[in-house]
Amino acid sequence: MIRYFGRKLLTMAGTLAIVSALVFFIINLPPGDFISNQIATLQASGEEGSIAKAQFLREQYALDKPLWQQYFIWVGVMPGANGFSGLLQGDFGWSFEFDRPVTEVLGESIWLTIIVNFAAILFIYAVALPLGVIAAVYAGRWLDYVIAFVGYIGLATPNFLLALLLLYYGRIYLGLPIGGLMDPVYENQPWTWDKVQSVLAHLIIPTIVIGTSGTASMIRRLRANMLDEMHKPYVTTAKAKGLGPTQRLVRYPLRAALNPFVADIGNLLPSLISGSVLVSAVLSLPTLGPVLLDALRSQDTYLAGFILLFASALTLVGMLISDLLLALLDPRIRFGDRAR
Amino acid sequence: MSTSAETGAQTGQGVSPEATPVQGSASADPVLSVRDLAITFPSPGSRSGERDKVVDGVSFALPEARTLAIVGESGSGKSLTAKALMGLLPETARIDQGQAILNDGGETRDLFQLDGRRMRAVRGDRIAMIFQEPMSSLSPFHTIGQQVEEVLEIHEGESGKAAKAKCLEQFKRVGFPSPERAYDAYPFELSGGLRQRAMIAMAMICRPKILVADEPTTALDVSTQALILDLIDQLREDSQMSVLLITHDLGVVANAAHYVTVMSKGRVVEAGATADVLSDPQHLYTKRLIAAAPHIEASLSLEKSGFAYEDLIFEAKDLRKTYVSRKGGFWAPPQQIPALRGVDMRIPRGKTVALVGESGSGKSTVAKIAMRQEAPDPGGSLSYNPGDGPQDLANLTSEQLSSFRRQVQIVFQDPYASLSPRMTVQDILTEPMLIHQEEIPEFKSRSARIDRARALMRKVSLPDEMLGRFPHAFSGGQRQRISIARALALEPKLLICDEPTSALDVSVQAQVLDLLEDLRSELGLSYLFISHDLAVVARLADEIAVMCRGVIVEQATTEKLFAAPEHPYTQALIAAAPEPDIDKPLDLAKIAAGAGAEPERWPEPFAYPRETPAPMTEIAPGHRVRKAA
Repeated sequence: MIRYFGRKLLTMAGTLAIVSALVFFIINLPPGDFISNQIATLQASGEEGSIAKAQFLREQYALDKPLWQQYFIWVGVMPGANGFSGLLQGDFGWSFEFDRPVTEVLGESIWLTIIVNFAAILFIYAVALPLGVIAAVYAGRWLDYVIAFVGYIGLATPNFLLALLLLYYGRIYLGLPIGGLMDPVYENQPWTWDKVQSVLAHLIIPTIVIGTSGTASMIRRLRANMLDEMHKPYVTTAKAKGLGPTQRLVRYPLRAALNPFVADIGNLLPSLISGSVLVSAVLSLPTLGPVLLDALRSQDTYLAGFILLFASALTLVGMLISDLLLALLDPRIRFGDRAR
Repeated sequence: MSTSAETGAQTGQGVSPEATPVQGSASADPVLSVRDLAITFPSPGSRSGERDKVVDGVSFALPEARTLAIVGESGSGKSLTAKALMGLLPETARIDQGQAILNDGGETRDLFQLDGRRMRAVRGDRIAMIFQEPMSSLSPFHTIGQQVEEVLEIHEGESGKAAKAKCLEQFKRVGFPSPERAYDAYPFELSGGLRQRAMIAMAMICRPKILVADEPTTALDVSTQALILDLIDQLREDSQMSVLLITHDLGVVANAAHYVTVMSKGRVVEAGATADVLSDPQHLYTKRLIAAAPHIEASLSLEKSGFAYEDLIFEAKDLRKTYVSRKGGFWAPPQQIPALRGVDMRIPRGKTVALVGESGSGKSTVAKIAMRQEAPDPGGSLSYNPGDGPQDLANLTSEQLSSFRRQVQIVFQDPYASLSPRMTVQDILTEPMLIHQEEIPEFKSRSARIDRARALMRKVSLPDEMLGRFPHAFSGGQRQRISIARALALEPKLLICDEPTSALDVSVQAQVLDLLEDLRSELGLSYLFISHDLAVVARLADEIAVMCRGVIVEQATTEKLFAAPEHPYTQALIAAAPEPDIDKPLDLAKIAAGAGAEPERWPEPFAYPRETPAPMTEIAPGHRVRKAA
């Protein structure tokens, strides 16, 4: 088990290295960079002092060096203007647009992104699990069709529209707060119970909105897996033992159908992060999505690169979690090498 | 196989003659009587709700502490009858009429009238069932212990230490060598025989009145089959339980059942004491079934021409193959799994050489290597002689390879899986001709190809107007004929038959063997015939090589092998093949001595450490045995 874990960790590190290279080069594909664009603007307005500062930044961040060198400096395996100072050393770079270190720009929003997405995943599982099982048990009957209908509505409705609707009606009928992740009073305040409550109340709508689109496909997948498993001989054995219908379902086919369900954790994360940009914008959530969009637009290389890398790391962690859960759930994976 | 299983087997007697029923014992109150059972399915394609009778008016009585076998071929309704008793019918099936009266110590209940909750109380407690495929019938997610304990929890509300103690005791009873280890093992960690023992332990744990065994040994090797049948019989004897044995194999019936009910097309055609039915069958169908079951002796009396290693069409020397397990550790080297440890084989032109062995013996690996589907480990040599001199299979020119591919064809085991369901029979038969039309110019013409396909159909005794149909329109036996026709399309010289009849019913099996025999003499073919069943091989083979753990342990002409089998493993295989003859019960002691395929445990001078097989020793001309010289 420990060896299994170690092997997964190593693969993860390798994947992350490859991803970082891809991310960096893709971001730099469009011609120009933030500083050159800025210099052009500044030259037009003739502010010599700013131009000098911009030139300094260019050198500081090695923007005058070839791309591959920039990459290695960014990662921290090659000395830059300040010696070795890159991702590996914990220096995540400088955001040109905000004129602050990337870590300061992102700060809380990283944690908020994690919280919102985690809540959305919990929501997806909490909704899809029972509905998928019920749909499978009542396959081909009206309940199955109702669930499919509801699921497809969720899938087909544009998220931002759903967000606006929920905001409006949630406000009118339930008194839910509009927009943001907490009441403005608590911003930049130390964490208190009231602040937590405020965050929780603000989380309800984003969770539903971001989660809804994920549930439909999850329900369909779980239903299909359940249908496959429900007719396996070992379920017949369970019936022949005299096990009641509910226990028979939960102990055997559901156990098997959970495998793909769990294996999906890793895949859910990136789609949630990139998919929630629009929703975050509409709900004015301070998550990574909108920041990423801006950073990409203004060619703020290090900011965008860090966010993308962070999302990838999150995905890989999700996959690691799902791999470990799978090993816990399925003895065939755990003891695969013990067999025979 | 387990140690204790074998010691148990030596004392067991199978259903010995004295256990055969006295006529009077049937008159005692039966534990279960089924009366006039009818099961229907919706007619395919019918919109008006018509239903087909699949089981029609079946009645039988299962006497106390006896075994009743229901015998029939696929589609006879025997399995449905068993499932109906357990309430396990598929959803579309319906019991239209009939009763199943369970007499449980004076208290009688009609199983078909019980509601869900009451039926669940009966299932697993009063009637338990074991199935054909123990691997898929056990949950891969739970340990054997959990799965057996669950039954106790359901029916006796027991769990914890007391339940575990009962489980372990039961594991011991069904012959697990180490019950504690079995308790924590997952099904995929056990051998097929042990898995079926686990199923039996699960069925027996609540001491049921009736055990329903649905083809319990069909998926097992013959020697394991004998041990499992013996185990079921001992358990029946010990706990005075009745066994309803569903099987297609009259050999199993002769060895394991007191009474037999023969079913065909949903009806009972004959019933009675096993000895009476087998020795003096009344119904034509029963007679046909008995005649079709392979008999070793009858096969041996067939005239066989001489056998000599001259003009070899195929020769393999020191064939070795090691598979590397993908599941190597990160630091540990990947595991090496030797499948073949030096196999020598020669097939004279026009002759049939059979490779016989149980699962895992390496016989199918030989077939794959002979087909050039897999490359052997370096060192040995393989040669094929089309008639104008031997060619080394490792270095064929592309021209030679193409003609090799034409001349060596294979017939697979499962005619359901080996024919594409999306191609018509005509496409299946003409595809090889299309592929090789460059070498055989006459196949460039479409009409020539179709003519050839028609001729092939007639050759395998199928009506040629069925060329346009898809494989699903054919029965299993017909499909296997199509497979054979496809293999013959390019006029091969060597046919590799990989268990060509083991997926078929016995009566169909006999016909397919007939066909293969006719084709051999008619077309002058040579066969490499691979099977786990000595009785099947006896009929066709000129020479038999018995394989075990990647080596041949005994090799002789068919007559010699059966007349004087020398190796304990061969003796066990011969002894384990059940014959539909009540006077020839399985010899369990012999089976136990050679079974298990563990070379270390064979008696001297046959024993050898697993890694270094003993040499082959010629004990008579053309008869070689692996033993210390």
